[in-house]
Formats: sequence, C-alpha cells, structure tokens
Amino acid sequence: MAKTILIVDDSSSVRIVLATTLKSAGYNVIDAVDGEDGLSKLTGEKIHLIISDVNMPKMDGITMVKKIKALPKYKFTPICMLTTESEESKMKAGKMAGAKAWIVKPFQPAVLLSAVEKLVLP
Amino acid sequence: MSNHIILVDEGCCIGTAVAAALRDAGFEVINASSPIGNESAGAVAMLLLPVDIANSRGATGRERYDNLQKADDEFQNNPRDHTTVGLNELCETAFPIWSRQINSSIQILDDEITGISQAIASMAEEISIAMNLCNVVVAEIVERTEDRSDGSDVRGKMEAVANALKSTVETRSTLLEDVKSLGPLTCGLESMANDVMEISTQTKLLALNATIEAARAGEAGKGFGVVASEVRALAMRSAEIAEAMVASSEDIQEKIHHTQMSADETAEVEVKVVETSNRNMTTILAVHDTTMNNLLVSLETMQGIDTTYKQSVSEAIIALQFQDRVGQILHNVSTSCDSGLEILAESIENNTREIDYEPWLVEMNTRFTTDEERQNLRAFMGDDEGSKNAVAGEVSFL
Repeated sequence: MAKTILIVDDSSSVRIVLATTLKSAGYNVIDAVDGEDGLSKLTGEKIHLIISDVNMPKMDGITMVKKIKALPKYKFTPICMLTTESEESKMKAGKMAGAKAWIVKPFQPAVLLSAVEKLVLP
Repeated sequence: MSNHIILVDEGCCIGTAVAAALRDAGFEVINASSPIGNESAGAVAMLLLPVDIANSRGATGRERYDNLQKADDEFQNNPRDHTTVGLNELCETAFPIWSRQINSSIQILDDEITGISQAIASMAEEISIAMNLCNVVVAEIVERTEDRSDGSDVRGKMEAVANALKSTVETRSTLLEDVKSLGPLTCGLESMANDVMEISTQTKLLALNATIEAARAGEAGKGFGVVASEVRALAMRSAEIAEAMVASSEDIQEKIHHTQMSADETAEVEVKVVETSNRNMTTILAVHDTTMNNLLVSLETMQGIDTTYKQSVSEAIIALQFQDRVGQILHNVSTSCDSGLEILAESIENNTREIDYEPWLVEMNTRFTTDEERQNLRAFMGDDEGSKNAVAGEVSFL
C-alpha cells in the first residue's frame, strides 16, 4: 500500500517537480496551491507526510501548520517545510508551529527522498 | 500631456530604460549628454524642466542651448529640489509600467516553466516506465538462459538431448553385440542336433538288428521283438526332432545375420545423426552464448543510461526550481515599486522635501524570502555581515 504525501506550494513548477520526485519513489501525491487549499485536502484520509512551502497567498505555510496541529486527526502527521526561506528566525517559527524538518529550495531529489523516508509515518 | 521636458542621461542602462519609459508615457526627453555637454552628463541623472523654460521647440538652436544651459546651472545649484519635484511624476508614470512588466514577466515565466516542468515530468515518467520494463525483460531473459544447477537452462537441455542420443546409440550397440553372441550358440545347437541324428541312425540300426535276432529266436524272442520295434520308432522320432532342430537353428542363424546387417546399417546412420546433432548443438550453443553476452552488454549499457538519465532528471528538477525563486524576487520588486510610489505620493501630499526611505527599505527587507535578496540589500547598504542561514538543498531536522 503506497503512502500518501500532501504537497502544498503556490508554484506550479515546484508542485510538478516535487510530485515527479515523490511518485518516482512510489508515493501517492495530493497537491494544494496554498495553506487554505492544503487544509481543505485534509478530509479524513490518512496522510503520511505533509510537505509545505512557507510564503504563499491566502494562507502561509506556518499558519497552516498551526491549524493542522489543532486537528485531532492530523496533529501527529509529520510536516516538512520546503521553502526559499533560510533564516534561522523563520526556521524557529516553523519549529514552534510544529514542523519537523526544514529544507531550503532548490531541493535535491535524492536528499529530499532520504528525508521523506525518515519523516514519513509507518 | 507633454507639459514638461525631461533631461535624462542616456549614457547608462538605467537612464536608457527611464528615457524609454518616459517617452512611452508622453514626455519629451532630451539626452543630457547631448545638448548640455559632457561636463554635466556625469552629474545629471535626470532633470525636469518647467515648460516655460524648456519649451523651446520653436526656438533657435542657440536659444534652446541657452535655455538648457540656464536650466542646467539652476539644477547644479539646487539639484535635489528639481529632482524631488520631477520624481513624483516620473515614478507615477514609470513605476506602474515597471510593475506591470514585472508581473507580466512573472506570469510568462510561471506559464513557460510550468509547461517545461510538465513536459520533463511526463518524459521522466515515460522513460522510467520504459527503462523498468526493459530491465525486467532483459533480467528475465538472462535468468532463463543462464546456467542452472537443475539443468533447466538452454545449455543443459541441449546437452541432455545429446546425451540421450549418445546413450541410445550405445544401448543399441550393446544389443547388437548380444545378438551377435547368439550366432555361436545356435551353431552349437545345430551340432548337438546332428549328434542326436547320428545317435538316432545308430539306434535304428541297433533296433533292426534286434528285430532280426528276435525273429531268429522264434517264439521266445517275440517280446524282445516288440521292444526292438518300439526302440526303432523312438529312434525315428528322435531323428525327426533333430532334423527340425537343425532346420530351426539354420533359420535362426539366417535371421541373426539379417538383424546384424540391419543393425550395422542403422548404427552407421545413428553415428552420423549424433555427429550432426553435436555439430548443430555446438553452433546453437555458440549463438546462444553470443546472444547472452550481447544481452548482458545491453543490460549494462541500459543500466548506465538509466543512471545517467536519473542524474539528468535530478539536475533538471533542481534547475527548474529557479522559477519559484525568481518569481518571488520579481514579485517583491513589484510590491516594492507600489509601496515606494505610495511613500512618494504621501511625501508630495505632505509637501515633504526630503523622503525618508529607511522605513521603505525596512519594509522591503521584511518581504524578502531569499538569500539573494538579502545579500543584494546588504551589498547596497555596504553591510557584508549576514546571519548564518541554512544552505539550499540541505535538510534541517527541527
């Protein structure tokens, strides 16, 4: 049974290359274009990992993480931030919100998949 | 619309762009280095002249030059005043154009890179499927044809056929030898039958003599005569059996001879068949070995291509992410244009002679999302010290 990963990014090209990378490793991928869209995709199905951008329109990634951590069904779902942001202050904000990992774009497929393997729920 | 003439130094890239934008907006633009002279070109980035001073379209060349020289002197004496007054109209005109062009660039970049990303993703997926299929097929062929301990491989099967043929020939040869050994035995039987015939002949003579002697003995020899008669009958019967045995023995010998001749002919054919089969199998196995080697070489080549292709896809995936970074940078530039314009308008409205740009820079800094933006700002501000940030591509577990 393939594991499901929700990817949230306002850049369509990043969503495409991210989905391609994850699908090549056998994961199911659900995508969303911003934080609001990401929350709307959490409909009760088991999500094994969430990978989200930080700077997005409508709802940013940090706010979305906080809202996800308030959802009983998904509060233990690991979240990895994938962003151009590299500042330590932003990373601390991500950690405070509940994110488990932080990857600065551009990501390398092999490195990303290695991190995903460590983070994804059994 | 054209109630001002704007003097711009078009000797630099920015000046050229500004002049083009102003001309698009309906302003009359004069190249600073041309009418005023090189001595002021370095100092004048942009000079807005009131129309009453510079409206010199109908003036003579000398008057036009004098007017511009006068304006230039005024600018040199108090350049900030002129620049500030003209800057508002310039920015109101140029910034929205730049902002729209930047947003158009973001949209074009996004559309095109998304299309390229989609195409690369599709190609990567299709190539991956094809490569996996090829790998499975080649691996299956190699597995089927390589040596197996249970003899189920091609070479084993061929060798089994050759061994079976060889074994059949050997078995037939042994059988032929056994048949040949029957010849002397039947000769012995014939000799024994001849002996029996000889004995039978002598017995018949003996019985005849006994019959004669019994007749000579008269009444007393009657019983003996009966015995002699029976002995004679037995001797005749023995002779008949011996004759039959000789006939059968000769028949058997003849059949053995025919069998031997047929077997010899068959053996020759079989030997040729085995030899031909061995040659053919050797050829087939050589072709098989060559095919196997070619398959293994192909498999190695495909594995090499697969590795190269995966590396290329990986590099493409990294490269395609530039759109996200560039898009964010351009978006921030566009937003900064809008906010800069608001600050300028506010300063003009409040009749502020000096614009405090620091808050604008601070606000711009808070919008930055990439290291490149922060580094550019630091470089502009002459600040080389930057915070230690995470490196692109690396994973930080929080």
